Amino acid sequence: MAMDEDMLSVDRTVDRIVSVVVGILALGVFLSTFNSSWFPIDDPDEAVTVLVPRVILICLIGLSVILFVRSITSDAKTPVAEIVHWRHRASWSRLLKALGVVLAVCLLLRPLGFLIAMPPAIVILALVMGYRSWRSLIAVAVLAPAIAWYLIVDVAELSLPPGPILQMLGLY
Amino acid sequence: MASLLESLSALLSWQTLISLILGTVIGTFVGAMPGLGTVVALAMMLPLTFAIDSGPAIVLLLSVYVSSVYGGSVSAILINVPGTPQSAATVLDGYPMTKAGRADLALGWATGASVFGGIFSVLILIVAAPTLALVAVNFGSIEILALIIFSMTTIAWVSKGNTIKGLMAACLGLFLSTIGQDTFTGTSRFDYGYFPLTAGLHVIPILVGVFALSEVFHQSFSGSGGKVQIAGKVGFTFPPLRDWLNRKKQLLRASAIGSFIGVLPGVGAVTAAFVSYADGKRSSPNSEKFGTGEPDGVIASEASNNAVTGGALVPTLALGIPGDGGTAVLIGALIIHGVTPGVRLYIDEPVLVNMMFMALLFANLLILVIGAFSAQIFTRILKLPASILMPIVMMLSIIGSFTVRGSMLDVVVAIIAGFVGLLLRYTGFPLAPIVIGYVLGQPFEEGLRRGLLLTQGEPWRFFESPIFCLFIALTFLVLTSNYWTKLILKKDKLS
Repeated sequence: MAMDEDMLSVDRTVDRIVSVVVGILALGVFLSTFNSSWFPIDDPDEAVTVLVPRVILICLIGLSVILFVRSITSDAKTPVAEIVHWRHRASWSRLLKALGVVLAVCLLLRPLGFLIAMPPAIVILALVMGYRSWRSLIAVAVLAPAIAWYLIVDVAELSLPPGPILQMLGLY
Repeated sequence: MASLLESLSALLSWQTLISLILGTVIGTFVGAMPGLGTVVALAMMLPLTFAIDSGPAIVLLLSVYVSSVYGGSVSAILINVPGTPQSAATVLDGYPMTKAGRADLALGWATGASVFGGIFSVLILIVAAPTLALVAVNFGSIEILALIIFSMTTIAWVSKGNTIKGLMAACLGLFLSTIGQDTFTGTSRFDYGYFPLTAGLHVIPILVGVFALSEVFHQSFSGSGGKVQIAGKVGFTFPPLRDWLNRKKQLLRASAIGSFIGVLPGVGAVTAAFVSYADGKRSSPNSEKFGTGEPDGVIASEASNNAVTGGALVPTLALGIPGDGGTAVLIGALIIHGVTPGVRLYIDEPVLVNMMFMALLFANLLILVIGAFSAQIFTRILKLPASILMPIVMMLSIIGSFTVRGSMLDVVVAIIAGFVGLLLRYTGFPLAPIVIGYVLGQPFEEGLRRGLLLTQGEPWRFFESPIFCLFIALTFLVLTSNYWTKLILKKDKLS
C-alpha cells in the first residue's frame, strides 16, 4: 500500500511538472507566432502559414492545462511512470556519462572523422555500461565502425565524415 | 495478370531477393534482442535503403517489419524476456516449456504459429486493402482531415491507458512536422533565424532519436545490462502435422483476432496477443494447462501478434494512416522512396503493390527456414549483454541520422530527440504517437487548409460532409468512452 501511494505521488508530481513545462514551452512558441520579425503576419496571404501550428499549439496548451488540473484533482490512479520499477538500480552518473559520450561523438565526428571518433566512443560507452571483457570490446570497437564504413561509404556510396587523416592520405 | 507476372519478376530479381533474405534475417535477430524491437530495427535499416532502388528498399523494410515481430518470441521462450513487447504473452507458456526442457518444441510451435498468422493476415490484407481504398477514393480533403483526427485520437486513447498524454505526444509530432518551409506559401516557419532549420526536421533523426538513442540512454540509466543465462543446448523441433491439425481452431481464432485488431489504429500487437491469449484460455480444451507450458498458449500469442502485421498494413497502404510506430516508419520510408501510400497507390503502382504483397508472403515463409536453422545462433546472440549492444546501436543511430542529408544538424536533432524521448517515456508518455503525428502532420495541414479554401474560410461548413460528421462523432465517442463505460456499469449495478 505504501509503495502504491509512493508511486501515485511520483506520478502526480511528474504530471504536474510535465504539464507546466510543456504548457509554458507551447505558450512561448505560440506567442512567437505573433512576432512579425519571425513570421510575416502582416501579409494576409502569408498569415495562414501559422494557422495550423497555432491550432496545434492551442491544443497542446489546452491538454497541458487538463493534465495539470487532473494531477491536482483526480483520485484515480494514473499509469505508473516507468522509472519507479527499477529506480533502486538507476544511476544518474551513468546516464550523464552516456550522454557525454554521445555528445562528444557529435562534436568530434567532423574534426576527427568517423573512423577515429567512433572506436573510443564505443569503448567508453561499453565501459560506462559495465562491460569488462577488454579483448572482445577492442575487437568490436575496431571492427564495427570499419564494417559500417565499408558498407555505408564503399558499398552504399553514402557519405560519412572522413576526417583530416583520411583526407591527408588522399583516401577520401 | 500481366501486373502479377511483372511483380513476380521484379521480386525475383537478385537485388530484391537479397533484400528480402537480408531483411528477414536482420529483422528476426534484431527483434530477438530485448529492448530493440520492430521500430528500432526499421529505424536502423531505413538509412541503409537510400542507396538501393525503391522496390528492393521497400521489400527490405517490409521483411524487417514482419520478421522482427517473430524474433521477439525467441527471447521470450529462451530467456523469459520478450524481445519485442508484442511477445510478452509468449513468455507465459513459452518459458515454462524451456524450463521443462522442451525449448526446441516451443520454438517450433512459435515459428509455425507466427508463419501461419503472418500468412493469414497477408491474405486478409490482399482482400481488404484494395476494397478499403475503393471506398476511400471518394474522400476529399475534409474527409481525410476527419479520418486523421479520428485515427490520432484512437491511437492516443489506447496509449497505455493515458489519453491526455497520448494526445499531447501526437500534438508534439504534428507540431514538429510544421517546422521548416510551408509547402503552400514557401515561408519558413520556426527557424528563428537559424538557416539550416528552414529545410525542416527529417523523420529519420526523430525516429532514430526517439526510439533507438532513447533506448541507449535508458539502458545506461537503468543499468539493465546483465549477463543472460540459457540452460543447455537449444535445438528446433517442428511439431508433426497431426498436432497442428488438432490445434487448427486455436490457430485460426488467434490469426483472425490478430488481423482484426491490426486493422484498428493504435491498438497493436501487444493487445492482440493478450486478447488472443485470454480467448485461447477460455476456448482451448487444454485451458487448465495455460501458464504451465501449454502449446496452445504459445500459438494464441504468436499467431495473433504476427497476424497484426498484415492487418496494420490495411489502413497504412489503403489510406496512408499508420496504426502504430512500425507502420509509421514504413509510411515515412515509402514517401522517402517516392511512393505515396493511400488510395492512389493501387491505381498508380499496381506492380509495386503486388510485389509488396508477394514479399510479405515470402518473408513469412522465410521465417520458417530461419527459425529452423538459427536456434544455435540465437542462443549465442541472446548472450550478448546490452552493454556491448548499446554502443553499436549508438553508432548505427549516428550513422542513420547523418547519412540522411549529410548534416550534423540531423545528428544533433537525433540526440535531442533521444533525450526528450527518454524523459517522455519516464513520465508515462507513449512514444509512437509522436512519430505517427509527425508522419500525418503534412496531410493534416493539407486537409485543414484545403478544407478552409473549399469552404471560403468557414470551418463549420465541414459538417456538411456526412463522412466528416461520422468520423467526428466517432472521435467524440472514443474520447468520452470512459464516461459511457462508467455510466453503463453504474446502470448495470443499479439494475
